[in-house]
Amino acid sequence: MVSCSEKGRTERVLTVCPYCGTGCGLYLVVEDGRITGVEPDSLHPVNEGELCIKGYFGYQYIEDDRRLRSPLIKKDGKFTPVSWDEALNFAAARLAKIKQESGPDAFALFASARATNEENYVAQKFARAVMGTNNVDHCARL
Amino acid sequence: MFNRFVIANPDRCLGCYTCMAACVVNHQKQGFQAYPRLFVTYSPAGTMPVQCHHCEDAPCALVCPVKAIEIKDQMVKLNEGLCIGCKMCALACPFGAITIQGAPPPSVQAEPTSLLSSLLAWLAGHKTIGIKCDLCDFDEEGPQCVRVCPTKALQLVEGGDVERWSKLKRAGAVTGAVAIFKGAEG
Amino acid sequence: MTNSVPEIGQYSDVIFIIGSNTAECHPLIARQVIKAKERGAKLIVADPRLTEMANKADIWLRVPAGYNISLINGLLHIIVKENLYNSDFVQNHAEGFDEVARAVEDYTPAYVEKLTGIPQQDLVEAARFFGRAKNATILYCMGVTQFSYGTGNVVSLSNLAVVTGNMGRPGTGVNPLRGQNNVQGACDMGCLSNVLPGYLAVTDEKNRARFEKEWHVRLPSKPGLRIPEIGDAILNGRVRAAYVFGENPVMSDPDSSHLRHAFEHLDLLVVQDIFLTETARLAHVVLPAACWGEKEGTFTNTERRVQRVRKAVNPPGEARDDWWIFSALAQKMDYGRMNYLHPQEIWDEVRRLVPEKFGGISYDRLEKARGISWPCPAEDHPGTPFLYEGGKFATASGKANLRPVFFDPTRLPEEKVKQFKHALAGKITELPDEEYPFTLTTGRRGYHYHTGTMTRKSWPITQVTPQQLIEINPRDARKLGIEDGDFVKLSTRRGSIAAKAWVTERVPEKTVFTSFHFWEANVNELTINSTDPVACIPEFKVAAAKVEKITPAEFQAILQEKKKKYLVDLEEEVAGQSKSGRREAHV
Repeated sequence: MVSCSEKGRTERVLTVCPYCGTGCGLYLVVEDGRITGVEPDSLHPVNEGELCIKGYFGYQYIEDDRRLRSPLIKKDGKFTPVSWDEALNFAAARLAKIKQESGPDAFALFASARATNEENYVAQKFARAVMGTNNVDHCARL
Repeated sequence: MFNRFVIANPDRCLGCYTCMAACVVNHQKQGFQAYPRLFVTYSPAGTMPVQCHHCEDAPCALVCPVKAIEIKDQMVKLNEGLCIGCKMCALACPFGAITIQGAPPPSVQAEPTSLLSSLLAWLAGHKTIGIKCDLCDFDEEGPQCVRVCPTKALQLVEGGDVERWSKLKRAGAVTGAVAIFKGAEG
Repeated sequence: MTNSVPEIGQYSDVIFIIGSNTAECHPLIARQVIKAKERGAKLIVADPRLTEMANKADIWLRVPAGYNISLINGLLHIIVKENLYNSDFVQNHAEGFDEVARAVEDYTPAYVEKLTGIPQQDLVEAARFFGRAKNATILYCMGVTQFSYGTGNVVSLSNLAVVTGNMGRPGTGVNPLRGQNNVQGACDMGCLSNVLPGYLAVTDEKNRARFEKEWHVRLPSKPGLRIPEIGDAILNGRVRAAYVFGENPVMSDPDSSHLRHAFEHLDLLVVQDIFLTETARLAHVVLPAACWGEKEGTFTNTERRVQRVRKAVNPPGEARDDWWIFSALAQKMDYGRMNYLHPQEIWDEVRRLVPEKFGGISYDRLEKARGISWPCPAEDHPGTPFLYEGGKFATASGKANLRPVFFDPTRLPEEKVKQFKHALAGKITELPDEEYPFTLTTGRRGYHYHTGTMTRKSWPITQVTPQQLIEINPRDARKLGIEDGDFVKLSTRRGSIAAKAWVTERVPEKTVFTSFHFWEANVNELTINSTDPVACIPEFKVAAAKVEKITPAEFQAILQEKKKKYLVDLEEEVAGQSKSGRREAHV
């Protein structure tokens, strides 16, 4: 199933499964800049060289055509691709206005159990240090 | 010669479907129908995937009207290119291990002349054919379901295995008999 | 988890799984259980459903959904009565044993059988296995926590572990199996409304000072809103702007129609995600994020093991790492202390601020190790695979606190609570009645993941498991004239969904089960937003429901309704707009 092809450049990148909390070790097989398969990490103490259906086959979404490729702003009820600058300026101006009018606690952040530690740290720092609220929570609550 | 087949140990099977997805991917890569050839089956008695037993006197091969199923290389092979989708094999199979599924495999599109006339096809360009386990005989790594199973519940049984197990069971039977007679003496 | 996963396979000789469908939701932890079993360990499973673990159990306790406390108190009753508790441990490492012993007096096997239907003999046998074990471990999951008295359930389990002395050694402990790759990490990093990174309470001035110094701002001292409270806060005007990243609450939150309705009233909804999820479709601004495999960083698994995740390919188009987006937005809002260049810089800031837990976990060390479990205060510290070694607990007295827990399905046993110090109690919010005669319980299936955003876009998975199924017991099905594969409509007071029926003994009579993986039939339109007073976790696991057989035409009509409701076509439409720009080569 996962065989490294002879032609082209093949790399194996060691990482951790993105699905449940077990945290199995696995290698992403990368050929010519595309992920073509997954191999279990036999040295990982938790999964010891085995994976489940999601670990082996749950990576195809990465290359799905429906991935978001550009910031979008809803204009007249229709999503319109915009530049990062425009999207961030739009969000920043609205957030600042709401904070000024209704105070920091008029903002709430849903953080992510799917993103990295670093990203979650930065997210809560944004809520607490930039917006000035403790309204930050995520689905660990659920 | 002995036949070969894959069988699962329900004490280990987690019912996680990894085997089924591996089966789909491996066959799709080979240009075969992208459908699973084994089926995780729940029952209060236990759970395991069910697949072809590659019977020595295979009823599916006997009823196939176009000889799409033949017994060779110690297994029962279904030629997806020859199959006419008559469903007889699925009805005859005692394990329910053959399904009839419907997208045209790339291999068939490439060789349309190899097809016998398909009277049962009901939609142009979309015919149903029999799908069954082929032990991944195109793959030198062997059956992928066996390879990916996280609890190693699946194994490929070959002739020598059955003989070895039988020897073990006979040895066990002797131990049991000895105990009975010793008990009778005592 | 208090302990690490490999310890299960290596050391545990009794494994008690409760409220966890381990085989489907954590297959590689279930593998450790199978390993232990093959070594001779005994397996006890408490679950209303005949899950694969229940099927393999030496003793299966078919507890009705919601009755965990009665069951656990019943086990404690037998353990106390038959002197199976660890008196040394209870004396030297715990407080409150006498209270708990007195509290479980009423929970005789006969009483528990009357309440739950669990045969007395099974309960006694399970208690003896657990009480006599050398190393007994408890594995639990959402079937313990997702109740309006989830905290009580967890406290009961810790009572059981402490009373039998199964803490602080390999192969023991109270082990929640966390559902998401980094749910542990998101909590560790302070993405909770009451704590800063490292679980430092926001209400404590000293804690705030630690972060204020590094962040150069004054920090708010009042705990914030918790997710189940946000819907109402939006509708009554307290919250006007919401920012959602990497979460799909319109699908995953209880009584989701209510939250969706609230989101439509926001002045600003920013959604940052990898797909135009059901939630993103409601947004004013959508920010495209890089996903797993496209970025560097760390995840922390259920064992507290911090592990490196690495970049393999470039993100598509203009998609960016989540940390980059937050940093860029902070700069636009004139905050200058978030100018990061690499995740390692961010992690080093965490290590600096919370050295007692993460100080010793450097990227350099993670390069070589297969993860390090926190607490790990120094670079030469090996990490902590299991907590509370030698019975030293993280309480003021250093001893484990035992607390009595009471349960009555119909009314809160308040008079009991008054008789004890620090007692907890629970009742089921919505019991079945004449109109809604079934108990609806919810969960995941092995092959899909949560709201399906990722797994439903991975074709080998959808190829083997394409659709939603509603599990119903054969006896109930017969009474309602439902055959396996018929379409059924499932309703609660909050809404209804339709899907095919799976007629199976997996669910007990008068109980139905389904998942939240499919927008076509999302069970969270039906669940109840009744929350635990301590943890604010909603009662996903019990609601009163009714089941009706419907025709394929009726099913189609409901499906079209859902398609409109979740703006399903919008995703394809937006994807069509930006199909240009193929993925660049890997660097």
